[in-house]
Amino acid sequence: MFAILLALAVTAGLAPAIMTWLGRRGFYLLALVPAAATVVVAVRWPTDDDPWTERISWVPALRMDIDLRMDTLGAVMSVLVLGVGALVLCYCAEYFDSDDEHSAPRRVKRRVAGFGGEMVAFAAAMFGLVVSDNMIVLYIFWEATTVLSFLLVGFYAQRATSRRAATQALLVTTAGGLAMLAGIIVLGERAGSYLLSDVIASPPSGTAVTVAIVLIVTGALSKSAIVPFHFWLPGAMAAPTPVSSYLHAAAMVKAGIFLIARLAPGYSHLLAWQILCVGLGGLTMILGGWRSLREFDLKLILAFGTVSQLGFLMILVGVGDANVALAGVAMLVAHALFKASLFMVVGIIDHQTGTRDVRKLARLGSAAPALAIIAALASASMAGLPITMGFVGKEAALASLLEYRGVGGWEGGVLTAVVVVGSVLTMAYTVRFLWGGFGRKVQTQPSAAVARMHRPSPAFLVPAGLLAVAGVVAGFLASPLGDVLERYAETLPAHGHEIEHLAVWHGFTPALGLTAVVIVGGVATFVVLRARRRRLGFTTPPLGNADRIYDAVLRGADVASLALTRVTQTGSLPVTQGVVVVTLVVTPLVALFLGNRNRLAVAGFDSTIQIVVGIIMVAAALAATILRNRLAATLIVGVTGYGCGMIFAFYGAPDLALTQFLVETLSLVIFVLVLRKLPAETEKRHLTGFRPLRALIALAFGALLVVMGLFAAAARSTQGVAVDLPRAAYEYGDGANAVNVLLVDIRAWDTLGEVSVLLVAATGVASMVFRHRRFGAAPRVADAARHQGADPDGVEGGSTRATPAEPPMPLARTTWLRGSELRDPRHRSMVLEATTRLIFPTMVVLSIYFFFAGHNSPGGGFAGGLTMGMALVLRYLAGGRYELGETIPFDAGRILGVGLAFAAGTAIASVILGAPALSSATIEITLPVLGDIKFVTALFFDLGVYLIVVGLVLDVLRSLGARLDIEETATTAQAGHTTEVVTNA
Amino acid sequence: MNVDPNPVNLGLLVVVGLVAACGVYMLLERSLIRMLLGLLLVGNAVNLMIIVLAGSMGNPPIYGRTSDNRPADADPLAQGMVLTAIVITMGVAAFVLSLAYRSFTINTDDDVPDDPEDRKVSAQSRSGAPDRDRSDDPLTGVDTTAGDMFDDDGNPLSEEEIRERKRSRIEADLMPSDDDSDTDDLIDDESLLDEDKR
Repeated sequence: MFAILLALAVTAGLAPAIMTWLGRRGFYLLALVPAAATVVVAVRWPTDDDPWTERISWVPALRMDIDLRMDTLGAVMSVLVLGVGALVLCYCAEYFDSDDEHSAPRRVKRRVAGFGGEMVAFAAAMFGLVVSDNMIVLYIFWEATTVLSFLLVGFYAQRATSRRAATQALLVTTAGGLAMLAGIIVLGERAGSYLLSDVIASPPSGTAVTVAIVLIVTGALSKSAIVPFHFWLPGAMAAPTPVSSYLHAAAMVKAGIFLIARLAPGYSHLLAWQILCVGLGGLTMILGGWRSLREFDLKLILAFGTVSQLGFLMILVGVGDANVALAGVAMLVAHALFKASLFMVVGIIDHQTGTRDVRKLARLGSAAPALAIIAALASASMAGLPITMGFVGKEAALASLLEYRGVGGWEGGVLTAVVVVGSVLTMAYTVRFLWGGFGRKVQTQPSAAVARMHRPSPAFLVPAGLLAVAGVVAGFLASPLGDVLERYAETLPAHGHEIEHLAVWHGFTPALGLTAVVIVGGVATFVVLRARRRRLGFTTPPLGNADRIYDAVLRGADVASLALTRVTQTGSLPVTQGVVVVTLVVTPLVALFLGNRNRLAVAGFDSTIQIVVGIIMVAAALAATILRNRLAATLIVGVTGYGCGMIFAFYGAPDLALTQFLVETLSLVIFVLVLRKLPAETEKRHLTGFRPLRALIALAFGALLVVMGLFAAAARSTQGVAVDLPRAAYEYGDGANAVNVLLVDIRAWDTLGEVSVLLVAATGVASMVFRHRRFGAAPRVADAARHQGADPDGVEGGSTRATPAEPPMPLARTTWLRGSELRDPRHRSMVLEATTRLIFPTMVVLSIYFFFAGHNSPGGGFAGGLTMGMALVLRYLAGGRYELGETIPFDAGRILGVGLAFAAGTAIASVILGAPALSSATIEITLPVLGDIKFVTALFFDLGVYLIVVGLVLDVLRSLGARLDIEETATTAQAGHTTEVVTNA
Repeated sequence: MNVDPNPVNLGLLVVVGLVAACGVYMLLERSLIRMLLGLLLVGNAVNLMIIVLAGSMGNPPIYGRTSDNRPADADPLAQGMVLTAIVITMGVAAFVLSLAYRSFTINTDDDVPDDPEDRKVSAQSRSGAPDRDRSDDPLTGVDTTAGDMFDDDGNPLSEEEIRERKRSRIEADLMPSDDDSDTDDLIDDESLLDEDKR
């Protein structure tokens, strides 16, 4: 089975290429694969005692394995799916043979090529559906057929009706499918197995199971177009006719019937099941037949007829009686044969005459006699006339329903009545179909459409003819066929009756009498309706139009979503953030209110220093809210940061204090670099209103932190992991500094993610400022001369023109910083330059010390990198942008990349060496001068962190520092230039 | 197994709450720089909160070192989390600053105005929704026959061209227009039917 699936899938993948190569004849080649698969299934015919099973492990953790299992029912469905699929593909070859094939646009040819692939893929999905035993895998195939049906129905994508029909079919069946998925999961969890065979063999019970079954049945009903989901099937007639013939007659709409037939042995005793399957099935049978009599389009007559027949099938397989189910399966086979054939006939009429409207066709029977004979044979089976398979099925159905008593004893009689009424309607629309398509209609001449028709080629007729003849031959073979189908029926209770064998002729039984009634009644109905159509008020549907309801539902969803968007997406960032903060405040408080609360343990400040620092922090924060000057606000926010650092230092967190101080200082520099470009004050007109409300939200948030903090601290019930960490870090990570070991070893994954974020932020900063060409190094002294002529950004040229006093190259005399030679002398500070020159090496040494010492004392990659960053900041501030390039003549992006490579490389290397990712090892060596050296491989990881931090600072300086300098000079130059022009003018 | 929780430092928690409240107040403004400052305040407050909640003052979590003869070590796990948070905040600040700078060079302002796309959505009627066909009925949104008037290449066709194609070409799979005609007598004059459909 898996081989068949694979073969079909591969064929589907190759199909577009084959079709492009061979043109429409490629369909014949494609048809070979399902045809061969049909033969394989027929040869390897399984029985219910000895099903054909295959199993491939897929996701065992989710109990989602590809369990394939083919028993009698699966085999019958497989033969229908694959056999009809092969014939439909042959039919496609003639159907897409348009008159002006040579002039057909390439786009149409390409669409037909894709169509071939989709048809084969559909056959694969449908085959997978009928043979999968795992319910989740079945669901996947189920939805695969839905998606492919969307693509196939939407073949004429340029037509709005086609798109609408495709969307409708997709929405209705997917909605049902999702309900089914929920049902499958509930059922699977209840039963403890997701295998259909298990779930049916030992069905669980309870309310949850009933709900699950209702959900699954809903999915099946939507797929098989049972009321109230029936409307998508007539809509889907916008598809090319081969699609209707395959999906909407033989295969996809049978998926629901198949699933019901599959589950019936386990669950047909449930009342909900009986109401849904049998009740709605009966309603559908009559409603479909009635609607069919209204239609003028041959294809719609068939489509509503299919709806009616699907209702009939749903009754038969849903009842859960062995004899009735046997009739159901026989009917299933019969229906696939005659309905596929009839759709093909309609397709031929449409293709040859250009219309399917019964009001435009007259004397088609005489113009195309072969076609008429095929149609008559298939129609005979549809109407259940003797010696056809349809007759066998319907006879068996009537006979078994007459015998069937059901729970209350009355169901059998009611169902028989329903089926008889439905069959009368079936007979009537069958006559209407034949009369409408082929009748003479009291005309002496064929109608215009028939007159200009092309005679269909024999190859076009063969698939339809084969199916129609098969419908009759199967009737004669009813007895052997019945022996096969009985294997399925035996899985159901027979309620004290023998299983009646299928046969063409049972003698003069009550069922035969009912058939006679049906035939006479059907013809009479047709004649009466034809004569009195107008007077019966037959033109408006009696129960409203489900299609309009679907429209209204969609429209309602649109309106609701617009209204919701209007309320939630006002477009104002403060409002959105306010909503976020309020949610953040309310949700935990509600949870806290509803849940258990621990007794609080509260203490005051630990030391005076905390009181002092705390007061300063609060005062600074309050001041920040009122200061309109950006720089002042920034500085005052910095105060809270330094305050935090102070508290950390006294709290026993030297690493944090160190990092916080470094970061605060660096942040201040970055802020100043940008703020020099912005106006000092926030403009008055931009004052955000709603101050009291904002203050209220803010205070609520603050209060939340306090309350949550109190309860979170009180919630600790056992000793924290922190107690053991320093010792563990020392013994396993070989580092005394637990925080650093935590960062580079124990929680290294986390750090890896975080340095990646830093890298992204650095790249983001550079792209914001440079807009294009975002990688590169800061400019060097040697570049200055080159930039004078033609700067790639076209900016710097202007700057040199504007300040011709600036020397192009450094003068040959001793200086403290080379790069600062290129600065405007007014901006230079000799003291700063000299100090920088002296202090820079010291800072670099300190940075390297922090880096190496970090494993055992405060420091590490972050602190070391930040210190190095500070040193760079100093060089930039003292010497200007060229000095930055002189200090580190590398591309910042390259430093970031090397850093990430180190960090990620450590992870990969330990995996390659067979250890879990990011684990570290210790190497001890003795060197002549330095003595014993303990070397932990986590140092490489820390080096990555170090480099990324340095790269981040460098990138920020390069973009927000150096680049903004250039933009400033450019703006000044431009301004000067403009003034010049104005003066000249 | 149950241990009494360490008493939590309420004084510092109140500091955390007040600083965070100031931060949120600034976060709810429209100026990008002030929003960023608010975010930094909230960040500092939350970092402090994590450290305070992890336990009371302790020795630095460095094996073999003590400070002030404190009985226990401070929680290294909380410190590890906060350390990376501090550095990341710097990266975020740098990014938002460059964003503000870009916004300023374009709008001469670092304010965040109302999102015009959102405004457009909220002012939109259903007929103007982007997933509608232009051929749909503007009021009800129902498909009209105009939506089918395209050739195989998707080029629009005029009504005359459509009628001409129906007469001269045999075109399969066209859906008939919805009609509730009360007779199924033969209509052989195709042009007449087309007139009716209009």
